[in-house]
Amino acid sequence: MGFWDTIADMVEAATPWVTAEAEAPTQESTEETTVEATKEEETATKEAAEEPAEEEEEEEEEEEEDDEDDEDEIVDPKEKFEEECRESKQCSGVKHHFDECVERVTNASEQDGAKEDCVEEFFHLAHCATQCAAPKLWSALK
Amino acid sequence: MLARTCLRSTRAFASARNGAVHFSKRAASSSSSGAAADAAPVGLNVAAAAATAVAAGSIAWYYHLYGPTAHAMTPAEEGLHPAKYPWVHEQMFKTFDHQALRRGFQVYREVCASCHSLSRVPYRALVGTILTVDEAKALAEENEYDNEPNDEGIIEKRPGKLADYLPAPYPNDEAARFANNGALPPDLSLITKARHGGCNYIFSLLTGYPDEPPAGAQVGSGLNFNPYFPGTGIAMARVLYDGLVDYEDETPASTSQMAKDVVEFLNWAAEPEMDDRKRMGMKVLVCTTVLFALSVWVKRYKWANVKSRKIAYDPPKPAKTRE
Amino acid sequence: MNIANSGLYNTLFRKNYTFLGLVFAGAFGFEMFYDTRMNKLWDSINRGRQWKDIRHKYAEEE
Repeated sequence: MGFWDTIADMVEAATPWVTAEAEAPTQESTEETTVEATKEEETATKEAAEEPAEEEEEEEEEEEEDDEDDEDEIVDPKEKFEEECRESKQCSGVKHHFDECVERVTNASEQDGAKEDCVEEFFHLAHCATQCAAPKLWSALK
Repeated sequence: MLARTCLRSTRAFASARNGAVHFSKRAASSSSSGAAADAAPVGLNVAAAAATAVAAGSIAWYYHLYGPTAHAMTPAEEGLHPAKYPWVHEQMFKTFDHQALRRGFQVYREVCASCHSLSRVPYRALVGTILTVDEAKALAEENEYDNEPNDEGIIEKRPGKLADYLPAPYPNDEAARFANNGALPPDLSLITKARHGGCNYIFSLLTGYPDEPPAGAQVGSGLNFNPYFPGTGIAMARVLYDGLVDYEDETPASTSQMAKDVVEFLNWAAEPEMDDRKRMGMKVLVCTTVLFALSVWVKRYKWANVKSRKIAYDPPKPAKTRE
Repeated sequence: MNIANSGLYNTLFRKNYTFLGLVFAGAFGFEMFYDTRMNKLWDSINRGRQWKDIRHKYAEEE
């Protein structure tokens, strides 16, 4: 987003040989869904290629997503992405600090009352997780 | 430094009083400052003692005011800064997604409206942006408003019309506080403008309630832990849960989807003119860009002569009369 | 070609009121053209987002 996207949008809209679509037009719903489905598959395969260890996990999640649409069981994508982000390498440092703090504080409170809290560590972890999940979340939400 | 300043002033006084003597002294000895310091040692001592007393006194006063503990600002007091989400409607030339506004209005009506008023939005503003005329009229008629006084001066009730404003859940702030344990649910009409962080903050606040507060965190009675709220203790409990509303367009109503929609709706409520404003802005920008390019070209055209001419100094040949 | 002798100059630019009329009419015409073009551009940038794009789903035509 920002300035150059705007310029690109305008150029795209002004040139007669392309059709600029800001959002999926409502009439062509069937075509659009197939396109989106293929896109999802593409991203899934890409991720699988990048992280072969988590291949099975990814597939399971894909299935879960598909279930979402069919049944009433709704999984909040924000929770899902942030959980993934919290476990990811990017946030491993702050997660380590948070876990350590939780352990320390719970031990201290069992003995003679905790003198500190883990709010700051929690902030750092939450900041990292939301920052990492934000773009993924927006591509998942409507 | 202070001592030297004092010295200089005494020297000045001395010279003013008896300049002749001073001059003679100066002639006799090369060190003038030492001579001047000898002139008034008592005054110097008094000045130094007074300055020390003032300094010590101000330190004592500061300590008396602020005490022995230093209170630094903690991150918890500041609140967690929200992540920046890529809102499409915040892009330069994008309108609100009116389908999302419609969903957001549904969320507001079914969830938020039981506590939060939206008192600056009339039904007529919803027409043509979120609802059709018929829907808005039907919605307005569900509520009763004060009519004009009749012949006997009695104010009767009438069904609402498009010119009426959305009804508030409580008649006044006191009633709202009384119903909510002393906490006042703010009016949401301008909330995205009124909060630092805007849309990101409200989205994060709505979706950011952790399952349990982090270890050791103090949560006051009747408060809930929310990292994004300054002080982390917020009276509003988590309200959005997965599948809370049934969207008419069959969008899966996850917590974050509802929060996103309602935040976009609240942004619309705060800036209903945004679509038109951005469209006008685009027209202005395109027009002024063309005019600016034109003016640059005209300037270069007019200055071409001036810029491309060469002024050469041709010095006169020295006359060859001599030599 | 000498511009002072051309038909354009004599018919439009020579008299002040015709020139002024030309300016006003030109401004009017350009505004109409520019507005419609830019509105089209705007609608194509924001296709599917505006109320007029989704109105047909909810309005009951009588």
